[in-house]
Amino acid sequence: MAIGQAAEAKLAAFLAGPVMLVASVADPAARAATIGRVMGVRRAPPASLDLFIAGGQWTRMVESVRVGQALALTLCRPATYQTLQLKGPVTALVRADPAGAAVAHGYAEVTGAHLGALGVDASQMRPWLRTDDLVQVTFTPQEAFEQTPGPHAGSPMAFG
Amino acid sequence: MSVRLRQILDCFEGVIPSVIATVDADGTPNVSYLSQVWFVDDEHVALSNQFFSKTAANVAATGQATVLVVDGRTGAQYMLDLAWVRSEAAGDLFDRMAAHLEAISTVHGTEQVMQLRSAEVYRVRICSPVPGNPIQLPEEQAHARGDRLPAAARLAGEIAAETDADAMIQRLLDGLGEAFGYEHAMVLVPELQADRLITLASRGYHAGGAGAETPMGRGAVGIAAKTGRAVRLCDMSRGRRLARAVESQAELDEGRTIPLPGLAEPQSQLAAPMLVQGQVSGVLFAEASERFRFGREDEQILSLLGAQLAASLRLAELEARSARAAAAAPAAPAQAQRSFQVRHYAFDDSVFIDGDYVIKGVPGRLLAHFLRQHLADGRRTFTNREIRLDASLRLPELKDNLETRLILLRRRLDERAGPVRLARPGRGVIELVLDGAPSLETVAA
Repeated sequence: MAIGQAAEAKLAAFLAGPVMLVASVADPAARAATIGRVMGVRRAPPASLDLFIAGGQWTRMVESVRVGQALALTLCRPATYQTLQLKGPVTALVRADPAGAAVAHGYAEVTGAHLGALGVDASQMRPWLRTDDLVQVTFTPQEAFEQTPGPHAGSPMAFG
Repeated sequence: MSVRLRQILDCFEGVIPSVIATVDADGTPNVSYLSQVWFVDDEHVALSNQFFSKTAANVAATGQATVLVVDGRTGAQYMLDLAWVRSEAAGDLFDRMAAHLEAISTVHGTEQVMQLRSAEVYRVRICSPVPGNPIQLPEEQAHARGDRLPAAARLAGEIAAETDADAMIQRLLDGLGEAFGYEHAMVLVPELQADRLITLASRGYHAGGAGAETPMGRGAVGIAAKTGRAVRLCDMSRGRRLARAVESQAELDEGRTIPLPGLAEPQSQLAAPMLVQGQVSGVLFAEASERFRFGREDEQILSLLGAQLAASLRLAELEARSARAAAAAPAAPAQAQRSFQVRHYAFDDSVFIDGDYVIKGVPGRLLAHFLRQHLADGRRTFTNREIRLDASLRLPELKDNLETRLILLRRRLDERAGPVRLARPGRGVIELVLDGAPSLETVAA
């Protein structure tokens, strides 16, 4: 099952511009959630996304993630706080290859420039944009949720 | 390695959004941004329950949450493992959070105030730094020095030693600059019937702004006045432009207002209520163009000084009531040739001198009253006592604050440097100082 046309269109719009990305998977041992920042997204046809995560930084998440496990990805536009959350199973897990690393570096550059334009210091954003020890997590979104702060946050988007 | 929450207080200012992740009973995660995590004590934080329905459901199922907080100054990140403890829908923590959220949403121009349903209190099991954090630089902030309590006590003592209300206000403003380096500060008082606050005095602005207005319930000053709680903003870059748009559309009649002094691009603001007997009698306000200019300690210092000033002003008010005029001052020799025209509009008590707006509301009514009396019988000297008793002035709102209105009027007239001024030859006595011969026209409502 894909996320539907409306959500797909929204996802495409988010991926076209500067976006902050955070992901979570469960740490099954602790029944708790882990958090990691995602350094870029690449389409993995037909309906999956490759996510790049600095493995040395988000260790608990990278140690917890398994193929078949559910993953949540939240995309947020820093200038407007418009937010979209996708959920679906992890389908593959590998160390990022050079092409993947290039996606992550490009993401860090574009995002850094955008945050800079919003008034964030370069030194301040450095910890959020690390691209060392990159891991590539592929997942297939199956659900999409409107998450922009406000009364509609959390409502599922129409499937179609 | 677990970090003490007290060491990372700059993560709890709401500058950089936090991230909260939870899992449901089946292990499906949910992750969303969170505008602010509140510091409660070294072992607890609080989250606002506003819209996070999935998060709330997951916490109800598992009792746990994971939160990523970010230091708004350095960008350093910390992961908090949280265990839910309780939900508070009233009390000090709840009120503090509600006031802050309201200030944020009005300053950021959010039309809909985000209603706080509850403060969710969590125990912090582990607070660990995320690898890649910057090396912490030694604290350079002036407000981290440890010698500020004695300075605050000294300044409070100096205010308490003054007997004249205007001198108290001036001592406070001077002291904020000398002892704490606050370059831009104001004292404002509420005009309850008009739902606004009026600037009494300021320091560090191009224009003094006595008589300038700001709406109740909006921005740091308006929320501090409405809630009786201090409001502190550390990084206003996000909402500044929006805030400006809100200000410009406020329903103010341009010809009858004085521009509010203020920095063009403030980054930090602090507003503390002046509380006396549980009532807000005014607001102390400070702002700066640097981020993180005011810390928690500044909030405490300004609140303490606000309470001292409020109490001292109340005492001065009570003393001025009983003061009687000294022997009527001899009429000043008529040295004035020039004449000037004063117009008083009864509907809002606004007063214009030679066509220029001076003041409105209670101070406007007082000014018109002084001039009317002077034109009727040549008097120049008035006492607080007779003003209070004069039924024609209809001043029920002056029960406790005639002094501050007179200060406001006097400062406004001084700042205008026009043909009318007020002098205070003695406690509880007001003298009309005229440079020219006034004519007064009252325009009925």
